[in-house]
Amino acid sequence: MKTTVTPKGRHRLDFMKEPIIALAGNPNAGKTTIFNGLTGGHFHVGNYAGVTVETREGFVELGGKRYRLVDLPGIYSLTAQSVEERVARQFLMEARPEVVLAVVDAGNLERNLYLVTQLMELNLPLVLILNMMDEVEEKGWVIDVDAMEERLGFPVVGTVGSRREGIDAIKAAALRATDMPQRGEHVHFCASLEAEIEALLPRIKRLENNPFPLRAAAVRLLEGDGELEPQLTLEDPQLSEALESARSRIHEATNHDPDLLAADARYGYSAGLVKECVKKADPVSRLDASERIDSVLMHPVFGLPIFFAIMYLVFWMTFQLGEWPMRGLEMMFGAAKLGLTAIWPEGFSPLLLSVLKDGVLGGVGGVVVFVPNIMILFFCMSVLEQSGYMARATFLMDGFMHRIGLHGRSFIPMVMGLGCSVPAIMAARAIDNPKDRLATILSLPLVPCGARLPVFLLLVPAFFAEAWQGAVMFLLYFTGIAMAVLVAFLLRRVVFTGGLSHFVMELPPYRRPGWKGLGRYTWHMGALYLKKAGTVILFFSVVLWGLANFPQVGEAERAEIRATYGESISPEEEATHLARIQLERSILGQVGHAVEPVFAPAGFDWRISTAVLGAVAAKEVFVAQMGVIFSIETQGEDSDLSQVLHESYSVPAGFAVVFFMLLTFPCLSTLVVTYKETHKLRYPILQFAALFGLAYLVAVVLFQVLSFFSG
Amino acid sequence: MKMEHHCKTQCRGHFRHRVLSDLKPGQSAVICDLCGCGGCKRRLLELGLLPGQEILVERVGPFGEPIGIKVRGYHLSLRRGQAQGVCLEDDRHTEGSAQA
Ligand SMILES: Nc1nc2c(ncn2[C@@H]2O[C@H](COP(=O)(O)OP(=O)(O)OP(=O)(O)O)[C@@H](O)[C@H]2O)c(=O)[nH]1
Ligand SMILES: [Mg+2]
Repeated sequence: MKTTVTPKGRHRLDFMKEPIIALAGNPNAGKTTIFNGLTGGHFHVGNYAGVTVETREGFVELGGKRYRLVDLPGIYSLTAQSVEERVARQFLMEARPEVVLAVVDAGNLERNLYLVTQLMELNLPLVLILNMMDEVEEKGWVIDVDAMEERLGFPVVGTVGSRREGIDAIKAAALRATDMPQRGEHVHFCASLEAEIEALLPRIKRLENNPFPLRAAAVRLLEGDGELEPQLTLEDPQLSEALESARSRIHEATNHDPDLLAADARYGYSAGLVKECVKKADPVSRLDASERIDSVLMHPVFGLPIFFAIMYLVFWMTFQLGEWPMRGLEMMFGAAKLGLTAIWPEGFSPLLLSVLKDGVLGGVGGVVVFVPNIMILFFCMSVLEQSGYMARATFLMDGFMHRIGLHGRSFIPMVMGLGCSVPAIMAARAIDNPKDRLATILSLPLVPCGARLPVFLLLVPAFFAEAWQGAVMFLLYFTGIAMAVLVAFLLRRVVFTGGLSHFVMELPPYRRPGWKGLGRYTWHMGALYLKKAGTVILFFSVVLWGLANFPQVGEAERAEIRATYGESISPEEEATHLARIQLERSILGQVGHAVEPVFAPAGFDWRISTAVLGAVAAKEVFVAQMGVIFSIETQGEDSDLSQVLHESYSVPAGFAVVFFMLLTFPCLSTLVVTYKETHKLRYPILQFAALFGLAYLVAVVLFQVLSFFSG
Repeated sequence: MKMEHHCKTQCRGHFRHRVLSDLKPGQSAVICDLCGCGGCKRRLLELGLLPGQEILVERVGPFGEPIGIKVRGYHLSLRRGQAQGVCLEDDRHTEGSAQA
């Protein structure tokens, strides 16, 4: 099957290793939850359609045999429209799993069974997993699982994925499915459709490149399948014509198109099954809990203000609640520096003391102190995702997104981008229009990600009076998001024009977030941040420390200082001057001075210029580098970096730096993921160059204008 | 772009029916046909919007879009352009609190 996506090329090579079991089903049915239950994994789940966008693998043991379990993105049907759907379809077709676990939301059976009727045609051993049985019970429905199994001819099990109930039953059912004779139960279509299917079978039988079982292929071709038809037409050039005339014969006989007839038969089958096997409670006309919550949160007038209030709350918690533990950590690092100097044996390698104090504590410490803020931010984002509010926010903002010419689904990646651009760019896979998707991917790095948080938290208190800090933070986030939207809009209008932007989205019921999962996720994100601090940031801090300390100054410079300031200079003053000279004449200083003219129009001195360049590796390197430089300069005395910065730079320069860091080029990981998702080198290069240009321009203009006004 | 235009107009031109986007929040109706371009119609079929199916419009987004409906017991939102491709049966129980 030739498609433009290669989610993970290695599937093709690994097919033979262990037999595969695949999890397939509608978006948000709980596939990843079940996957985690079966494998003990902790992959991210969320209460909206399209959380999983790539295949994920784990292992399960069934009857003493090892199987590879594969979690697939959710699909509504085997007709793929977006990238993640193609990933799932391609996998089912190419890997031919040993068993397919069809996960359905039992509270929404009719719709969920539609896909199952298509899976049944693939002639693969199936297990039907009726997930979310807790919600079914709450509604007072009773599902006769045995009757359903009897009707379908393959194992059916009820589960509550979020409470890990029914996991063993799934394992037993999967084993049962492998040696159960296949009954070949399938949907019967109306007479004229069946006749055309029958007529097509011999023709398809001759084709070698058909990945589907015969009957399934015939139905798909008559319905119209954008991938299968061109592929088979290569082998049988007259096929398209034959299909066209078959479709018009059907239309003549029934006055409907085959796709509608097929869907009607499938839904008829699924509705029949539900009617037979599900005893619904008396239809009550009262609103259920979710609908009552929605009448407030999705209110035509108050809905949007509530959304903005919630986002404000998220950031208030990130900054204000995060402030106390952050100050605590800051004090700890300050004390560690002093303590280290105090216990350091007199005369023992001062260079080693410096690398520990200035490089490690100064650089890494400066980044680590912000871990509480990062964890709070990710916690809040996860609550929004898991509760089901994300889909509501998308609903509320969709009219706006449409007006600016964007796909409604672009909204979720943009919110996720507040956490980290990398998963956000991956999440853009759920956008079915390729042009909307590209515009979203390219503009996403402008959304202020979590890694820019430490930079802001360092710079904003440094340059702005206490009373203004909140407003400036708001302005920063607003500018970043507005820029992202503006760029996406322009890209869509000027570069990637055309294409339909229709958008359907399911609004799932509100669900209580699993606190254990939330805690684990938050901890995981914090640990990732610390890991980054302990690896990438540590590495760069030490390298930067080295660059800032070599070549070493010595007696010659000491003499120089005495010559300038006179012999009577105090040892402390001499040390200060020496440290400054050390920095200026180091490799870092020389490089900094070389690039300084480039950044001078923006008011950056050599120290900021080098820090800005360091941020290519990761945004936090900026913070680490300022930490290292100023730790050397102040000889590790001052632990409040913000205060030092405040004394060293003017307000216009501060504004310029902050906005430069807001808009600046994406980090390496973002560039790499952009390349992986677009398969074109020109997009990450464009991203890099355009954002650097934009940031530079804004910084220069800000600095020049503000300097002019501040005299 | 051309396709979108096609998508919007077909229903009205052919059948002179009411379409889903004509309904106000709280109103429900029965689908009589779907038209519009391939992908757009297909997705709606897959989601269970079929002739004979009753749907209830629950709400409309703050900018006049999207349209939030209830169909087959679940909630769905779609854009105005797509809702114009969903033709509705005339008369009978238009108003009312009937649940889809
Ligand atoms: N009440 C209840 N909630 C569940 C159950 N199983 C999963 N959930 C919740 O349903 C939501 C969707 O779960 P996921 O596992 O992310 O669904 P998915 O099928 O992987 O979704 P996509 O990756 O978007 O296709 C999450 O909020 C889960 O916590 C269940 O049995 N009962
Ligand atoms: Mg998933």
